[in-house]
Amino acid sequence: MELETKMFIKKVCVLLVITLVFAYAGCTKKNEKKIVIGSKNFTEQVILGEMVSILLEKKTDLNVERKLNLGGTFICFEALKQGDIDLYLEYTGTGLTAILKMPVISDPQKVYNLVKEAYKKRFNLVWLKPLGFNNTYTLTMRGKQAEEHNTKTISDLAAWKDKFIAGFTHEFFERPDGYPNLIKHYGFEFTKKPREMDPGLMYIAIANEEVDIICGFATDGRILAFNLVTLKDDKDFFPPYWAVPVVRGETLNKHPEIAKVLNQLAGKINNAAMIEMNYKVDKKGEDSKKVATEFLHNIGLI
Amino acid sequence: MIEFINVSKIYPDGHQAVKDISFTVKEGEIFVLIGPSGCGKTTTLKIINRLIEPTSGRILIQEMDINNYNPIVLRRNIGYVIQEIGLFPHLTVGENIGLVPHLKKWTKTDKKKRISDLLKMIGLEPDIFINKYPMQLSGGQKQRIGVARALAADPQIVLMDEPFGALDPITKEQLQDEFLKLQRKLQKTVVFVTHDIMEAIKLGDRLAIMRNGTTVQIDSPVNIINNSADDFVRRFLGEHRFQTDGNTIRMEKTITK
Amino acid sequence: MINFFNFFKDRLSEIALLTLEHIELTAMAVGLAIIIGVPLGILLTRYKKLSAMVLGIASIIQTIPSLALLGFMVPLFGIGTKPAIVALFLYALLPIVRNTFTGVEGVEPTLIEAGIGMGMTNFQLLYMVELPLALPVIMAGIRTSTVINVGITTLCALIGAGGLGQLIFRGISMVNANMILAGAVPAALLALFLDFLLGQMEKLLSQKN
Repeated sequence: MELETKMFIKKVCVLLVITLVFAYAGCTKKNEKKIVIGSKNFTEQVILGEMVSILLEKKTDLNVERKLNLGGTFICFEALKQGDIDLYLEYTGTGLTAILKMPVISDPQKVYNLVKEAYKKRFNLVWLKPLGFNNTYTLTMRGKQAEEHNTKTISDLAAWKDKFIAGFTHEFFERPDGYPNLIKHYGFEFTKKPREMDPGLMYIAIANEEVDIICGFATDGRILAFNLVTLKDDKDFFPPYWAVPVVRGETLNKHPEIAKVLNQLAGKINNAAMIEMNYKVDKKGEDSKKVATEFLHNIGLI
Repeated sequence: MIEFINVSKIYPDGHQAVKDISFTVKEGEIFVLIGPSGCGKTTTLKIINRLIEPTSGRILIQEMDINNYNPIVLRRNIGYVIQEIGLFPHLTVGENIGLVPHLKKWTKTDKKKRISDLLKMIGLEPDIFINKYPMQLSGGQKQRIGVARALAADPQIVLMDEPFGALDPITKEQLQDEFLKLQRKLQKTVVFVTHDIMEAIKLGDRLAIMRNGTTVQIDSPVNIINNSADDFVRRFLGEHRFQTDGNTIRMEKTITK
Repeated sequence: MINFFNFFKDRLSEIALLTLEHIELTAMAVGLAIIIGVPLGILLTRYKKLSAMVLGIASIIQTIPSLALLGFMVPLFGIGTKPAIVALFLYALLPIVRNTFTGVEGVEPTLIEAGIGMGMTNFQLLYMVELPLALPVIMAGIRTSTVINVGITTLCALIGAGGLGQLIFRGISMVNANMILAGAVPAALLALFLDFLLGQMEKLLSQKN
């Protein structure tokens, strides 16, 4: 054979081998024992995502892959539906209003039952047991300013609607349990158009006094860190938001041990505990994995 | 009118463009600076309107040292025509011609009249040409307008740096003839740079033959032909055999095949 | 398709408002860049030794990913339109400074000589000869700047500056394609329209030369 042809055949063979190696590697990646844990893009979600991952790693023989800090509610939900992730932590109120688009109910247990049933029926997604805290949406403001203006409830804000500037996330402007319906429910809106920004920037904005009101979360560590206070939802606009792991039905069928292990967390985290964990990460700068591990250790699960 | 007294120009890199030259330009005459490239003729010209500053010597215009004039004012009172013509492409013919009057803050009416008169003087119909743009003109038309522009504020001195160099021979001859006619009427003091001996002899009242930064001979064309100062001048006059007959110069050409 | 049109129709007033905000942001940033960039470009032609350095710095700024640049602005200027306009302004600078420099540099030396020989002051030379002749090139720089800026302005919604990016980010967080398009399509159309408009101006200016 000519030298040229020999070289050509050699090149083709090498390419073929490389392709096969990658294909094989790709195939074996579809590990039967793999599970992907996702989370939304804020501190609490990352901590809980870690916590769930660590628990599963220690107590099952599953390979856990983390896709934390994915994005907002809807991104995580889509990812779960599509199978890009197998599990993430959702809040009952969010599931009710934002995903199922049902009207607000105040009874926390009722909300839980409703979403559990609807998710199973509509999406084959399973709500495990609640972790034990209620991370409700709140309107949050600087403690000092709240004192100065004597605002303790959301209704109190009406008196200052011309003065205060609000800052909310993109989601809050569009969700049924968000701004548009809030102002309908309370019967007032801020005269100055609320600013819209990335969730991360909201707390910086209020700390720097660029905005006065933000849509905070009840268990956000930054509330403590920046001396903020949450206003009472005196007209019961926001639904309850129990934090619960939500997992794909398929995945659960394949690995029922997931439910057994994660339900050990049921009721083990109250609001205070969650706030403290969030505070450690947000204010003290500790690593989420470390904080999650510490907590699991303290409650004797690992 | 214009006097050069021991003028030299040495550049920072050591090159001496003009070496200690002295001459006088009489009022109303066409004084031609001619020589091979690099002889310093253009440098000498540009010293007159202070585009180039000499390193030593004095230059007097109407007995006043030009250093005592504000250079901007000086230039506005000296016409300047260059080989590339330099009409501003974004201005109309009228605006180009009217530029120095504009800089001198003439009134609109005065400007308009002057532009019209000048266009007529150079043989271009004002109504047709005043609003045209340079790119719509031929080379010859452009340079006529270049000359008109230089004359617009009616300066006493006009400097011309190879003004017809970029034109074809026919247009060149035309413009040279027109220029002579114009000069007879206007009697400006003209300092004219060229490397073309034919042009120099045709146009110049007096020639200054330059070489390596110095003037070799300054005299009327007739005298230069009859009494060439040295071999260089003779060679520079070239294969053209000139014959003088009083004040008429006839040219004979020998072509060796 | 129909879904999108319905969505667009329902939120028309909001989209119109955001488009206005978007135009405002771009206009302010490019406006500032012109006010500072053109004189800077002219200055560089007078002090050519600086040109390499200044143009170099502007080039480097341009290579910073726009998102990162916006992020850098927040600790300095907070959130809202101020940091957005600063970042957008920095981005708009290079094409304008560079084109002003090139345009003025590119004026034929013989025209400069003719101008000086006629008795123009440096200032008159600038505004009667150099700038008018450099204008088409400067215009091209402004045009490039503007079109790029319209795109980058969509990112500013992230830091609370509003504009059409707001719809895009909301659409992303809600996983709503129509919402994303409702922000993206007007933004793209705006860019095309401005490109066309400024291109026409450019053409008009070059015709004179």
